[in-house]
Amino acid sequence: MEASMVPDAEAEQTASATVTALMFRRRLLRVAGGSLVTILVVSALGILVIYPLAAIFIQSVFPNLFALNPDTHFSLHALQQVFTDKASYKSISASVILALITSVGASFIGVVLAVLARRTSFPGAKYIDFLVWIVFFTPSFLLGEAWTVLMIRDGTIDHFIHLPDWLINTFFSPAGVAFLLILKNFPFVYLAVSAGLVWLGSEFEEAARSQGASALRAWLQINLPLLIPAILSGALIVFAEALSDFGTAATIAQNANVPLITYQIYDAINTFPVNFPLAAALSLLLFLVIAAALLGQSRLLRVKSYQIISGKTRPSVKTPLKKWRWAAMAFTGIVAIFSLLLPLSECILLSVEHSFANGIIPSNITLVNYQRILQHGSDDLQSFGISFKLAIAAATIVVFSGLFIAFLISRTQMPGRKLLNFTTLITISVPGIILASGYIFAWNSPYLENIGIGGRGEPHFYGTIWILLAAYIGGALPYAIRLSSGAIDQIGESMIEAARVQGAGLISVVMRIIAPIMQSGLLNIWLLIFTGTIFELAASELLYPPGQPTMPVRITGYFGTFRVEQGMALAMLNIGVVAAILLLLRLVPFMYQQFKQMGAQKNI
Amino acid sequence: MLVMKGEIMSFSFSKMRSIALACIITVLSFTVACGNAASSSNANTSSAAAQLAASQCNKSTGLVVYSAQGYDSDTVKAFTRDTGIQAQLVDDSTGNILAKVAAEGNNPQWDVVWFDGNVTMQNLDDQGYLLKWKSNNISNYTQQGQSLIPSDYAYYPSGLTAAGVIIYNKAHAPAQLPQDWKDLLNPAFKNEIEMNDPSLSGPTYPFVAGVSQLLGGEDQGKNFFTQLKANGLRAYQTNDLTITAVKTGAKEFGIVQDSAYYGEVANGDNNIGVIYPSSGVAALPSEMGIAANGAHQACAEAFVNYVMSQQGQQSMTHHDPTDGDTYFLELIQGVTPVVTRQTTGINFFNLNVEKWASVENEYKQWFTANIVSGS
Repeated sequence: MEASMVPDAEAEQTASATVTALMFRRRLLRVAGGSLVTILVVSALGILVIYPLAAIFIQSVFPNLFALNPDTHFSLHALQQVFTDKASYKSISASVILALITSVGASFIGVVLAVLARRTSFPGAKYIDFLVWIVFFTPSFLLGEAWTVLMIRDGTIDHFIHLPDWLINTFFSPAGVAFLLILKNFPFVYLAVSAGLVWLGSEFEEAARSQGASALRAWLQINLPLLIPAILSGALIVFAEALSDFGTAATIAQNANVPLITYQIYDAINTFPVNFPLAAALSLLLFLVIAAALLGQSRLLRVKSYQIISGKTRPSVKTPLKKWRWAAMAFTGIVAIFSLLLPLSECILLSVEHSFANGIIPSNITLVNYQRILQHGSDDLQSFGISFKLAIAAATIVVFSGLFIAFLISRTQMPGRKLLNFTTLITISVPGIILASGYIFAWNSPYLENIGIGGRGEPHFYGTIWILLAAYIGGALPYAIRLSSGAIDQIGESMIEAARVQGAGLISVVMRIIAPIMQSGLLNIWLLIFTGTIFELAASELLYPPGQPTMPVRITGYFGTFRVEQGMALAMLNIGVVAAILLLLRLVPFMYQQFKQMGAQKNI
Repeated sequence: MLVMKGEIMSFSFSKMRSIALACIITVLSFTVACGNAASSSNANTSSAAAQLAASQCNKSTGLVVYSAQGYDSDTVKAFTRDTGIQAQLVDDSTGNILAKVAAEGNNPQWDVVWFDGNVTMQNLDDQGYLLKWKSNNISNYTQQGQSLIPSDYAYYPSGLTAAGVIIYNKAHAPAQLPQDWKDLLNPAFKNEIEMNDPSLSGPTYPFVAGVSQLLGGEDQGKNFFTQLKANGLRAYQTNDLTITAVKTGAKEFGIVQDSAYYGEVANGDNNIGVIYPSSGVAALPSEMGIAANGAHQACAEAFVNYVMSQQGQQSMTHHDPTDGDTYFLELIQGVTPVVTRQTTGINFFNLNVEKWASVENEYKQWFTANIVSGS
C-alpha cells in the first residue's frame, strides 16, 4: 500500500516529465501496488472469514477432524440426519418465511424513511438520521428484554391498558419476532437507500414531471426502480440477519410450534456431548438458502443497468411537503415510538427499579443499581476500554478493506470475485456462535504448531485480544462490502474508464474516485461498524481473552445471574457514553464548517 | 446528518492521502503490537514448558478458569491474593463454556472448568476431557459433600443448590398449594405451570432426570411430563422468562433452580413464594473439573483445593447478595453463610449420575419434540 502511494504523489508534481523510462517504471509500480493490495485484501478475507467457516463446514463430512482423538474418518451421517429429517425442512421453511417477512417490512420502513429524510422537508425530518442511529446501536439483547417486560401479562403496558389475550399470544410468537426484527433491522435498508439517493439527481424525476407525471408517479415509476440495487443490498442483509437470529426468537417466540433452524443449531452445540458435525450440517441449510437468495438478486439486477452517477449528475432538491406532511410526521413518529422510545424507556425504567415485578410505584424507584455498578466500576471501565479500542480499530480497518473488496467484486474481472461476494453473505447468515466456534477450530488446532502458532513456547493467536479483533473484522467485513457495493453499482463506468485511460491504477481509482464519492457513505459504515462492534456479543462471548471481558459480556453476565436491573443500569451508562461520542463526532465537522463559513464571510 | 452534499466535491486529494496514511499507520502499529504480544507470550509459554517438567505450579504463568458461577470473579481474585498464583477467568454461560471446551478439543486453553451440574460434568468425564486426581482436601467435605464425589475423582463439588423447586405468585395463590410434583397434575392448575427448556437451560435437565428417578425411571418420567403437558405445561426457552411470568402473575407456578428464586427475592421481589416438594428435590452441585491435557495442572489442583477450603469458600459466601448464585448450601465443614435462605425441610436426593448422563441426549431430544414444540 505504502509503496504505491509514494509514486502516485510524485506523479502530480512531475506530470510534465516526459522520460519514457520513468513512465514505464511508474506504471509497473502502480500495477504491482494494485496487485499487492488485491492479494493482501483477499488473503485477509480468506484468513478471517473463509478459513474459519471451512473449519466448521468440513466437520459435516469429517466429524472427527477436531475431536479429542482426531481422525480423518469420512461420514455422511450428519448430512443424512439433517437432509432426511422432516423436522429440519420445517425449521428451515419457518426461518425463511420469518426472514422474508422481516426483509419486506424492513425495506418498506427503510425506503420510506430514507426518501422522507433525503428528499422532503417537514417538521422533524432532520431527526430521522438520529433516530436511525440510535436504533442501530441499541443492542438486540436489550430490545428483547425490554419488549418482554412491556408486553407480558401484568407487564408495564398491561398495568395501564388491559391487553387482550390474542394480542399477547400473537406478540409472543413468530409474528412478534418478525415485528422486532423489522424494527431492529430497517436501518440497513435506510442506509443503503440513503447512500443511493445522494447520487440520484433530480433530473430523472424532473424529466418525468415535465412530461406531465405527478410527483408520486415520478417517484414510483422512475426513482424507485433506479434505487432497486440499493434496496436489494439492504434487504439481503436484513434477510440474512433474520435468518441467523437466535436471541430475539429465544426471548420472544414462546408460542412457536415449529422451532427455528437456529434453535436446532444451538441445541446441537450448547449441551454435552457437543455435536459440531450436526451444527455444521444444519448451517449448510442456511448456506443453500442464502445461495438461492443471492442468485435471485443477481437475476433481478442483470436485466438492466442502474448506473446513475455519470459525472454530470445535478444535485437533487428537497420537496417541502404540504398536505402530506401530517402523514410523514405520523409515520416517522410511529416508527420512532416502536423502534426506540418504548423499548428504550423500558430499559431506563428497569435500570431505576428494585424489581420490575413490584411495578411503577415510588418505593420501587431507586438509583441503587447505578450505585452498585459504579462501586465495582474498575472492572467495567476496563471492559469499556477494551470494547472501545477494538471497535475503533475494527471499524477503521473494515471500512477501507471493505471498500477495496467491494470494488474488486463489482468493477474488475478478477477471477473468483463471485465466490468472494457469496462468501460475504454466508458470513452474515451463519449464527455468530458458529462463526466464533469456527475461529476456535481454525486457530487453536494442534497442526498449527507446524507453522509456529500455538505450541508450547510459540506465540498464540487464539486466547489473545487479536483473535477477537480478527473475529470482529471478519464479522463486520461482509456488511461493509455489501453496503459499499450497493453504492459502487451506481457509479458510472465512464468515470472509472476515464481514470483508467489516464493511467490510474486500482489504488488511485478506489482512493481518489470511489472513496470521495462515497465519503458520507463510508463515514456511515464506519459508525455502523464501530457501534455494532462495541455491543457485539456472540464472538465476544466465545473468544474474549481470559481475564479481559468485553462490555456486552459483562452486561449479559448480570442478566444471566438474575440481576436484570443492574445489567440494565450498566447498559444505559454505556449507551449514554456511546451516544455522547456519536454526537461529538457529528458535531465537530458541523462546527468546523460553520467556523469556515464565518471565516469566508469575513474575507469577503 | 452526515451527508453534506457540497462537501463531497470539495473533498481534496491531500485529505484523501492523509486518510490513507492514517490507514497505513494503523495497520503498521497493529503489526508491531502484535509482534510484541507474540514475543511476550512466547516468553511465558517457554517458562511454562519448563515448569511442567517439574510438575509444580508456576505462580507467574498460573492457570485459566472457565466458569459460569456468579462468584467466580471474586474467588479468582481471592485465590491470587491468598496464594500469589496468577489466575485468568473466562466467565460465560454454561452452554457457551461447553461449546468452547468442545471446540478446543485436545488442545485445551482452560485448566479448570466450573459450572452447576454433575450430570454434564459426568458427560465431560465420559468423553475423556477430565483429569482423574485425588485431592488431599476431601476430608474438608461434609457428609453430604462426600456423597457427591464421583468414584473416579474426576470432579469435585463446591456448593449445592436444588435443581428444580416450585415457585408461585403469592398475590394470585390458590388456597390449596401443590405439595409434591404429582399435585401439579391437578386440573385446578391447568395452564398455570411453566418450566425451562432443558436443551437451553443448564439446571433443567437435572430436574427432569430427578423427577424421573423419583417416579421410577425414564419412561415414568416421560409419562409424567406428557401428562403435565396435557395439563397445559409450557416450556420457556430461558430462565428469565419463566421467572418473569410468575413474577407478573402471567402464570401461577414455575419450576426453577432454587438459587434463582433467592436471587429474585434479594432484588426486592416479595411477591413470589417457594415450595420444596415433599418427595424430594434433585441435588444440583456446582462442580469443578481439571483439563486432562491442560498445560497447568499443578496450578489447577491448587485452585480446586483452594475452593474446597474454608478460606476459598469465604469468597463465595461473601459475594454480592443480589446475585442468586450466592444462595448455595455449603458442602465444606465450618463454612458460615452470610446470606439467609431456607436450609431445613428440604428433602435432597442424589441423581444416578452415570445413568442420566448416558441418556441425556436422547431424553432432551424427546423433550424438545414432545413437550417444547407442538403446543
